[in-house]
Amino acid sequence: MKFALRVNGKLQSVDVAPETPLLYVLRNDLELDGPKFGCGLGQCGACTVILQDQAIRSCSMRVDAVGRREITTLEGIGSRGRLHPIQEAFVSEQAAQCGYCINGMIMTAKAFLDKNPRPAEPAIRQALAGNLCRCGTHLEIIRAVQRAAQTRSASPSGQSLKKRGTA
Amino acid sequence: MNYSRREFVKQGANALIVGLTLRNSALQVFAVEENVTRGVLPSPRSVSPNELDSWLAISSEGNVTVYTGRVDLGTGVQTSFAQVVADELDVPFEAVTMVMGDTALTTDGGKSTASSNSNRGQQPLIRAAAEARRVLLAQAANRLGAPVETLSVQDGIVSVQGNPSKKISYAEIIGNKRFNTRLKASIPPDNRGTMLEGTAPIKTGNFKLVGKSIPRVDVPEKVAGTWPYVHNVRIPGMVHGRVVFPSAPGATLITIDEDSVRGVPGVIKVVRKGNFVGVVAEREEQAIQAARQLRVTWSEGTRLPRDKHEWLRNAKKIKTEDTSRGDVVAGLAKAVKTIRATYKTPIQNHGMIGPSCAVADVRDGQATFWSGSQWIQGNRRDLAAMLGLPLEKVRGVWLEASGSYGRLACDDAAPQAALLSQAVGRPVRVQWMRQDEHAWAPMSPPTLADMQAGLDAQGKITAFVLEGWSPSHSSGESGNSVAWRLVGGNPGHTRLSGGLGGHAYDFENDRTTMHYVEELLRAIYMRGPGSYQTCFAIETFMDELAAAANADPVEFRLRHLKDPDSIAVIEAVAKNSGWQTAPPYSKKISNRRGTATGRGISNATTGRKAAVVADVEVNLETGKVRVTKAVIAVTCGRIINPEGMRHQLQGGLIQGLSRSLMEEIKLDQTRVTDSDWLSYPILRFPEIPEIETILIDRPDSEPDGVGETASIPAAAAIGNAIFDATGVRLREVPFTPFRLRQQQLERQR
Repeated sequence: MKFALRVNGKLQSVDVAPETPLLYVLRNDLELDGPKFGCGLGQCGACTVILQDQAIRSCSMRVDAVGRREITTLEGIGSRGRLHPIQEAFVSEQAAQCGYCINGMIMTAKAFLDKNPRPAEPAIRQALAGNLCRCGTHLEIIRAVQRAAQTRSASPSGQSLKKRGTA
Repeated sequence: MNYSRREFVKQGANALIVGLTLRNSALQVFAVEENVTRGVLPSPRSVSPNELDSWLAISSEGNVTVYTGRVDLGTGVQTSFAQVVADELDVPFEAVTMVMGDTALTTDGGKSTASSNSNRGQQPLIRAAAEARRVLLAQAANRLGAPVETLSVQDGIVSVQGNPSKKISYAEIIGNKRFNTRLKASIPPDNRGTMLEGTAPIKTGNFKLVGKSIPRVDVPEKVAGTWPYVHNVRIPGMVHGRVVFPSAPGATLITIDEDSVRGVPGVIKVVRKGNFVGVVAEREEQAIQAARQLRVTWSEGTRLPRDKHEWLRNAKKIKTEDTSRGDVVAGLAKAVKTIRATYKTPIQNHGMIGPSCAVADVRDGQATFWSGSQWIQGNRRDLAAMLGLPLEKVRGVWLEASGSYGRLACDDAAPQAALLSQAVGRPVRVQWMRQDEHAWAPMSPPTLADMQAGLDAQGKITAFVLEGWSPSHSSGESGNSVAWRLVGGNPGHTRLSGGLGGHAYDFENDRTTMHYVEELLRAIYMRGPGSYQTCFAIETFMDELAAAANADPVEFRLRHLKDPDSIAVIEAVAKNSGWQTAPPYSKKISNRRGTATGRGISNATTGRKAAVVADVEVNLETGKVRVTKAVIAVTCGRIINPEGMRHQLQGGLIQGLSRSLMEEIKLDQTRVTDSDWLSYPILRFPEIPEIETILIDRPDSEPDGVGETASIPAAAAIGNAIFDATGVRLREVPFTPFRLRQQQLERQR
């Protein structure tokens, strides 16, 4: 079955079974490696993408449930040569060891900070409570999200975390 | 610096190594990475460990490529390796590129572990760099007409001291040419890694890069989503496989009903070899559906014990090791007080966030596989033997996987992908499902320790006795992958590892008896194998002895220690935590709304020395324990990268806290019943304590790895803190609310 998906600002056409989890379409058909398979059960957060303005688990969303909604993946918020301020904050705090969970941490933090620009530390922990990290990088990740929030409030427009054109 | 996949190495007809370093544009970098994850690989080169050229090459631009079979498990060694090599050669950090874990490009460096990479893994790289520097300086002396002693090197340029205009660069001397220098490599039979011998002096001080917190080279691409994980390999013609695991360990295949997947679109083949069953389909979700839907009947499996610790005590013994000092019988006879206790640790899962994944292409009598293995050469030997291919026809390419903490010491996915690829004649990608990783991964095995000690009237230990039982921690290593076991004919793995025992105390009479017993479930090293379990038993027992002697736990430990590093780490955590001297559970603590707070200390020795003070808050109603703060101090010889070390210690400690508070693999009488993160929870963000790390540098001693160091003392520190808070002594990990409540009720009786 053919689906037209709006991914990172582009319209993409895929031909897959309607019950296919969005994650496999993103990774295998669109070759977007940001979102990762961790559990396939919506329990760990490694596959997180942003649907409109909500962080969702792409492993547990059927492709036919996406509709016309805009999907943003890690690739859609910044690139190697032009990192998003949240990604920059993760580099500054060295907030990755194996890095397998980091897509989920950044995407969850992005959706959270867009709605909560000046969060207290416990609120950051709560926002990330559904994302698992096994290397124990939690403290660096918390600091990275704090740093990103500070960068945003320090910027004159207050919009530095908003991706150009999307979200 | 650039990292491995940015280097595209070709070996020309004249056997010169031509390094085409693509470092100028990000676009080019991605092109090379794509080549590797898309199956286009550099041509093979000589990997003889006795040739300097196998370890190191310098390009005509002065870029240094270092080749090692050791790999980065997410701990950052590709940064720290480049640091030490750049320092030894006196080249800029950015000039060094690491090529890791490609059996056609790198020598066998032994199994990569977070505890050995920074010593045994690093040794040959420093040695190779020192030998290269020696050769380069000799040639520079010749070309500049000045004695070697008058030369100095900065940023890869050799100049004559006092006459800096007389200079020549490494690139001019050797650029794109071979060193043709023989080295002596010694390869131990226990696969702990190749060591290199040589004559060149090695730096022992005046470091420029060693000791600096150079940011990790992998982090920018990890946060951008462009890092080449093994999960991202996507090669032409690749299809997807899933493995259908038996119904229970030990179960054998009776029948497969292939009709049960007739209706599943995209199915290419149902593969059976011995008891190994898998499906291959065009698309990933089709393979998943087919694996779920395939009807397979299995025989009953092995009967699993109801009580694994009772089982350990009575299980078939493989070997008993006895080590002793002094005379414990006489020591116990002198005691005025004798204390006994038994400590139990559970089966635990490594809990990789990304499950096992590999791609294999087995066609035309040869095989290539891409794997996150911690020992790509070991996996290669296994795979060749299992498939019946000559070793030289098999190439293994490492790409980083999810953090593995020992789990990928033998990658199980690569041989499965190889069997499926062989059956369909196309490259096959295999990824485990979450329930596979929870139930079928090799585990950290359960342990049991009986402790006994005597105290004299002065509160000194007169005898210290440990008797331990555990299966080996490595039965799932080489020769014993899950696929090969199911196919049959595998040699098995007989090396025994992870025995209980070992501490830094200076006891006059000290005895350890360790019984290695038969396998319960397939086992593999997990972050401090045996050491985590030993430390829990010994350090909890030390706390019990301190309480029995009415002594302060810090002072009690110090009165039995002579080892300066152990004393240093204990004193450091006591000082920074503001330790108040008192026997355990003797301070009157204000109970705030049904909670009690306490603090415990623990001290670990595994070559590296570590001590932890943990503060806990116990909910007396629910039995739930929260670690609120932890202070850790560590010595590990010379520190290469302080921030990298700090992150390892924080990570190791958090993983150790998680294991100690909540992690236990549960069995029914036939199989593992845990299947996901709900049945096997791990510590989450709201529960992460504040952590203070104290790094004690020993610049004059050789560096050592700290990947395991912080996990090891976690259990005893928390358990001792729980006792301090509540008077309840927990002698079994994990410290679940249920266990705590149960012990509380028992005490009240």
